Amino acid sequence: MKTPDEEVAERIVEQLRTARLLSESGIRKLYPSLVAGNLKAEDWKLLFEISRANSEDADATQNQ
Amino acid sequence: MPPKISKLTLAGFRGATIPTTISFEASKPVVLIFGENGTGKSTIADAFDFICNRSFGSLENFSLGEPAKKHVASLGVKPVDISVILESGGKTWQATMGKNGPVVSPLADLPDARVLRRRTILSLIEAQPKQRFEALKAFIAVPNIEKCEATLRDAVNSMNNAATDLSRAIEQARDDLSKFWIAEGQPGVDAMVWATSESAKDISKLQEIVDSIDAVMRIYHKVETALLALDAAVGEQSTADEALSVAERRRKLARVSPTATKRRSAQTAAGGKKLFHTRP
Repeated sequence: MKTPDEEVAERIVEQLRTARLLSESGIRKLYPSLVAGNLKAEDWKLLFEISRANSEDADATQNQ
Repeated sequence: MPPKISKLTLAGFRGATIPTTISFEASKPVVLIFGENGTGKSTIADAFDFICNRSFGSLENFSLGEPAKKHVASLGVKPVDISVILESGGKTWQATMGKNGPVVSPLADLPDARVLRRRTILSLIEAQPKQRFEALKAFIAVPNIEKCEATLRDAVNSMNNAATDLSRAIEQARDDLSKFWIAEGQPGVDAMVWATSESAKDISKLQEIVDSIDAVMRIYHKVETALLALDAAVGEQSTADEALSVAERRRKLARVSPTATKRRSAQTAAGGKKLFHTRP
């Protein structure tokens, strides 16, 4: 049976995926860290920056 | 979603005096077991605890001074003859009574069962709010997610502060640009257009001039350093000259001194006890 932390982490990850706020690789890294509770502020920032960079690359490809 | 339990078989287990198999409909979301007192509802719940949690279920805290394992077996059945078999998702697990308690085989992928008993519900209802939370904490508390939430809040605050600082820097840069633009006589449509056109200009010649000025400045600094060194040398020379002059004066004085001594001795000899000489 999943722990409450695992249940909530799954929902968070799913909502981030639906809203396309994080890349797939970011989401994969995020889930275990959320469950373990060891995400630091710097880790969040890095996730955002990587996702933003990926998103900008995707936009540039689409515009081409 | 994990597969649902399809079958439970009891033999020699508590009220199941004869081998009993209970089949569950997998298509139903909830299974409700009801019946009169003593018809075996607790036996079924205890069987789940026995195989899934290796626990004696409702007998766990009612040993009457004897080990609970003595009461798990049906009347006339030896504990070693107890068997609980569980089937789920095409797999089968069996629990028997070992020396130290229930033994399950295989252990891999054993279904997880949580048994909520009436006495637990009653104690929860009768408990103080804080105790209720303690009892439910395992089901609702998300301490690790809360930790991550706190660090996320920190990250958001830090990024907001950085954004504010950057906004201020942009505003300051715009003000400076506007001042330059005004100083240049407000050429072009506005400061930004002017700055864009200026920054697009070829500045290689300007760069050459800047490089030349830099080279001149470097030479100037070298000369300045050399001048400082020269000043220092002149100062040292002057000090040395002064020291030499003092030494020279002392040397002359030293040369004069022996003559004066002789003169004083001669005067003393001529005047006997006369110590002072009066000038005529």
